[in-house]
Amino acid sequence: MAASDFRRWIDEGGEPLDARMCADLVAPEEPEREDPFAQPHPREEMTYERISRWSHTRGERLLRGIYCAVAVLVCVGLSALLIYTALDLPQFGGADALVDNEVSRFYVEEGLEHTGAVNIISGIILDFRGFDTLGESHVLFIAACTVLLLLHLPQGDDPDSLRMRMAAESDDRHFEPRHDPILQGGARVLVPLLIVFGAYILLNGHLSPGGGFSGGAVLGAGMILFLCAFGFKNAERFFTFKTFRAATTAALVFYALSKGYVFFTGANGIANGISAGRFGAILSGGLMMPLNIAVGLVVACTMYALFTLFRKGDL
Amino acid sequence: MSWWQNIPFFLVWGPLLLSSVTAVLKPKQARAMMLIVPAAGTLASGALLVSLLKNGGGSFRYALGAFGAPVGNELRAGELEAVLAVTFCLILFLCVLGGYQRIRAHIETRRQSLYAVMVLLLQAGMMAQLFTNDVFTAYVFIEIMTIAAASLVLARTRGRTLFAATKYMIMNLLGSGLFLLGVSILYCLTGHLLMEDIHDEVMRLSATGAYLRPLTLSMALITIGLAVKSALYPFHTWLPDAYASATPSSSAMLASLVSKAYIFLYIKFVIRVFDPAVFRETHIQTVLLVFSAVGIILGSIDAILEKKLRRMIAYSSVAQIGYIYLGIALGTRAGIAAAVFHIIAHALAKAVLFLSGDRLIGASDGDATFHELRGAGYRAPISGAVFSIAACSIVGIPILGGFASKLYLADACMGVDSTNALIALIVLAVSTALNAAYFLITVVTLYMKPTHEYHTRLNHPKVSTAALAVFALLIVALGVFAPRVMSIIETGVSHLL
Amino acid sequence: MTVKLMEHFEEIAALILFGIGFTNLLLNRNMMKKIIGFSMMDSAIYLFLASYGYIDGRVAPIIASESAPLEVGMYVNPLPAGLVLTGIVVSVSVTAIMLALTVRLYRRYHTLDIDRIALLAREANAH
Repeated sequence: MAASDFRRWIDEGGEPLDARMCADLVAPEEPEREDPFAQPHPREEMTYERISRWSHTRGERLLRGIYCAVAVLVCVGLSALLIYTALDLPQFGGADALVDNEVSRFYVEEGLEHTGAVNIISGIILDFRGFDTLGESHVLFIAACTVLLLLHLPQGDDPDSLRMRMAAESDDRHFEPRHDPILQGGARVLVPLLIVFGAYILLNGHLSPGGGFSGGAVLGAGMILFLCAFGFKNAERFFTFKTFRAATTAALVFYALSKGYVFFTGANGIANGISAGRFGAILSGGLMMPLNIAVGLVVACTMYALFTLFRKGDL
Repeated sequence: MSWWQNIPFFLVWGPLLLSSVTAVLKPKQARAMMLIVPAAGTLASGALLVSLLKNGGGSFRYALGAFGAPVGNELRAGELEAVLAVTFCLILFLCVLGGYQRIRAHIETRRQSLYAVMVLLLQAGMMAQLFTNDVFTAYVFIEIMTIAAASLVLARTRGRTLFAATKYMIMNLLGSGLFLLGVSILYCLTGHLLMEDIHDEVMRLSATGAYLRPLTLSMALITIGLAVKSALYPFHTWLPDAYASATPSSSAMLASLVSKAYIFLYIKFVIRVFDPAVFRETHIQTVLLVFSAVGIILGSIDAILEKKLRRMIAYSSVAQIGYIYLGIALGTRAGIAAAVFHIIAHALAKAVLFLSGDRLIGASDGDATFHELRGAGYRAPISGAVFSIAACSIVGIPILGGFASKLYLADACMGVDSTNALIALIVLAVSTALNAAYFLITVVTLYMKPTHEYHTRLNHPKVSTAALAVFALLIVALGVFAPRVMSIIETGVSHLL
Repeated sequence: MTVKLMEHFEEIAALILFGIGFTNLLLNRNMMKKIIGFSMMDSAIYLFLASYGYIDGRVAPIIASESAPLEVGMYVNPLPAGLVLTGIVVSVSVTAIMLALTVRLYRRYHTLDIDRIALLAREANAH
């Protein structure tokens, strides 16, 4: 089995490695297609009727009462148990708090020296505990993928896809006023402000409160406001599905590669050649600023993508 | 540091990196990634296991970045983690391969890249659960696994997958919430997030007797949180729907891998974070024993009462998860080693049951009720044979993996002299009879004379059939080489702390 | 008892919120309210975690000037803040997924009541 044969087998084009062995792998039946806007089945209609008849009876009211009582009991019981235990915890705000130990002391005393980040919290999440943050940006990525899986409508020209897209539009923005002067006037002022402010938070993440996630969220808000004010047609000029895919993937790959380099060199005791930089300078903190920009890109694109996916099932 | 000590890091980091690349690939290439990455993971973790054994075993820590304990993130690997990494990656690969055709048939082509992304992230999440030495990293990757698993269920849109995925998400979010609260309380009490450091603090606290109540509460919250996620008996309501309606590969992955990764994390919590001694003192052990015993019996009864094949297999998972928790609840080294062995035995058998069960249903005009399955063993001979082997393994027929694991469990029970152990032994005996009742009846049904003709033309790719055959061989091999595997697991458990 | 309750007011607030959120997520039949319950539950945990990083009379761990002394006695514990930042992003992602699921469920079953959806789903499975 040569490597190229294997590749061809994987690609399922051309000659497979053994025609007899894989002949039936090539042609599956037509994949199941779904229709989110399908009309309910007649038997479901009957269930709807049964439910609506049932919801006017006394049994339903009784059941609802029991449900409420159980809910209150669970809530009070759980809270009481938790509070009873919490009374034993160390005092809130006390200087003798157990968490004030050598770990937090290390972050405060030596964090700046090692990471070059004036904002110690940024230093923690991007450097000391960078692995958590790498996982966290992938949580955001997987969330975007799942929403895409759930809400992305087919973009073909066949009647089925067209019907679904029409249904989505009539669900959402059919009756919405277009070219609202107040919204557009407000957006003209606010969008540039939001973008600049978002960029400021991104770039100063290691120096002041903020960082990739908060800056990205502000940038995303700016883009969403632009979309609301000027409509999908205008937004598509600079942001399409392709832009989203390219930007997110590039940012995540950069993020994973650079963190991978730092982790690998750190664990093997190799000098990584990243310097902490001068105190308080914008170009300090090693890789922190590029990482913040990458995270910010991912967050901004994901926020915007989530919004448009909810509204029209595409970017 | 030797070269092979970098493998755990690459096992987690590689799939993470490749997942974002896969998202932009074409469906064809993405499907290839779904096979290549788990295969590469199997080879890499195999290399890790061999190198570990060659270098005399033991476990090592891997600091992520220039700072290790106690300020930075850390990974830790030993024989136990390596064995489970090999098992998980291999099963993941075989699950994808075994249900490959069904993935293509069940999932729209434009969504197949996303399905591949989910498989890769699931692999990354599982590897992170195995190797992480940090409780908060565990939380982050738990969320990745939860979302990936829910997406694997809802990638197929026919049937009740949407509702099943919603139920799955709700129950799992409750579990994550409890887990996170437990971890937060633990952090407040100890001021550490790395497992060994927490362990030192916990030992200090339990020696002085201070903060015993919050400590018990945090242990209880973490236990319940992970029990919900791995479907221990009273928290298993999400399981049958999720396992029965997804595409067979997804069901196999969820049933055999996802819940097991959470259980392994729990084992790490029991041994490495809370000491087994503290675990015994707080009576959580007893509660866990009761839940798992009840789960074993009632899960089996649910399975007996079920009329549809895939739901029956799903309910049998509830009983099998009960066995694993039973081993943990014994609170001894032997019990935990038996639990880990059962994780492997059950993961192998359950994946096969879902994959071959689906083919048998396919050979019976797509009807999953038992009546229609009569004679399916003749219509799909290989699937029938493989199904029978896996079913026998779960029942505990000698030479197969399941027999060895039940033997080790019983052995571990003998090692504990208390009424708990007696209860556990009785439960084991009763449940074996119950298991035999439903699985052997199913196997017999497969080889009964059908009542009418079936017209389904079988069109199974040979590579997928080969994957099923490999599974069957692995089940037999696990039974034959059980003592060897068990000795690795036992040294692994002793190196866990 | 009262003194102790006063000493722990912030955790108690967080834990009551956790109880309410948890119950909502577990028992409320409306999907939207379930999601609100989930958000409350997660925020309550973050409040709990953040409140343990706080120490009376200390400031946020952002170093004001190069000459400022790097004393532990000046700054609050930075680690919980980092954990909360990570956690918030996770809960945002999960909220988005739950909302998307709700949209799909509503399109398919025309109701937000999870019990009714369960009935309808069983009906759909029967044929």
